[in-house]
Parts: sequence; C-alpha cells; structure tokens
Amino acid sequence: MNSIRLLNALISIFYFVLLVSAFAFCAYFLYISFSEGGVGLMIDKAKGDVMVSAPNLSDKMGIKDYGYLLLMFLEIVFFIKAIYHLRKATLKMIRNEMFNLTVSSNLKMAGISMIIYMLNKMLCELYKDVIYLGHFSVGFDFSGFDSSIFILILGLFFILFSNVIKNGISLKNENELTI
Amino acid sequence: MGISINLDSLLMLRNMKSKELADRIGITTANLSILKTGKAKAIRFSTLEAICKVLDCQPGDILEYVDDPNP
Repeated sequence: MNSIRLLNALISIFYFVLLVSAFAFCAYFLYISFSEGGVGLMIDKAKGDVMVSAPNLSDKMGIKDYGYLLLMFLEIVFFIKAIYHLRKATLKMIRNEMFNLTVSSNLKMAGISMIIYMLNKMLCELYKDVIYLGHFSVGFDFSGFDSSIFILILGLFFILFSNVIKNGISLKNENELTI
Repeated sequence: MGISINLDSLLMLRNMKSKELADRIGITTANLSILKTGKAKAIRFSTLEAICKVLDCQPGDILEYVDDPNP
C-alpha cells in the first residue's frame, strides 16, 4: 500500500506542477496578446525550434501559425488529461479499491490520452518540420524516457492493465458469488 | 442458467426455515438467499456436503439441470 501512496504523491505533485505550468503558459500567452497586441511565433532554424513570442519578433500570424498553436495546445491538454486519469486511478487504489470499474476506465483513458498525446506530438513535429523548417521527416524518437516510443509503450501498457483489472473484477465477482 | 436449485422444495419437505439451514451449514442467510434465487455462480463441495448432511439428501436432489433455450 505504501508504494501506491508514494506513486499517488508523485503523480499528484507532477499533476499540479503541470497545471501551474499550463496556467503560466496561458497567462504568458494572454499577456503577450493584450500587451503587445497579439502573439507571434519565433522560428529558430538553427536549433529547429518554434517558440511563442511577441509579434514584433516574428512575421504576422497566419492560419498555419494558429494551426501550430492549436497542435501545441492539444499536446498540453492530452498530456494533462493522461496524468489526471492516472492520478484518479491511484486515488481509488489507495482506498483499497483496486478491482473497480473506475480504476479500469481511468487507466484506459490515461492510456488512450497518452497515445493521442504521442500522435499529436509527432504531428506537431512533422508540421513544424514541413511548414517552418522546410524539410520532411517522420520517425520515432528513441532518445530517452520522454521519447515518443516510450510514451506509446506506456499508453498501450495502461490500456492492457485496464483490461487486466476488468478481468480481475469479473473473477472477484465470481469468487464472491461462490457459496 | 441451466442449473436450478431446489432448496425451497426440500426445505418445505423437511419443514425447515432458511435461517435454520443457514445457521446449521455455517453460511449467512444472505448467501443462502443468493444460492436459492440462482444468482450464485458456483457452489463449493464443502457447502454442498453440509447441505446434503443437514437435509439428508443427495446433491442431485438439490441441483437440477433444466434445458435453457436462451443460455
């Protein structure tokens, strides 16, 4: 049980840090929008980076730029959603309710959100490469623990684990109805 | 379900109450009710043995296979 408490504590800290970062990003976005009269994107071709900035540092925002901002926004939303569902599942586990449909559905949602996040991240990278950096590349990032392949594996694992819990629920019910 | 439980008729024949049977075989009345209404998924040999001993019957007197057209 202590490991579940520790896991929940770590996920909760991560979740709230993520929320604060997301709010900070939104606040920065709104600040630039109101103080500078709009937002812009700063393209660093040498580093291969595209960053949100004040409009005077970049070209005028077009539909393609808003498309990129939307993809970035969705990336943040799906990552936070995945961590939110993980946190909810571990909260239920702490209350000794491991074999529960809420745990199963939350783990499944966490897995699906992670996969969507990963696909969105790949799409975002592809969009950036094609639209801003002028080259085409599709591939998995194998560089570390935040690599897209690792997040895909984690997402699939959570979906599989949710099915294991679902099977556990039916076995538990069967056991309880054995007189 | 294809298996039906004939506990009610046996209890009536033995003039015994459900609570008495539950007490004598060592299960709760709630579990006996689950068994009687056919909601149970399985029955342990030990429970079946206890019921047979108390009601002085054979397992076949308690359990009956009924052909279910919609399983």
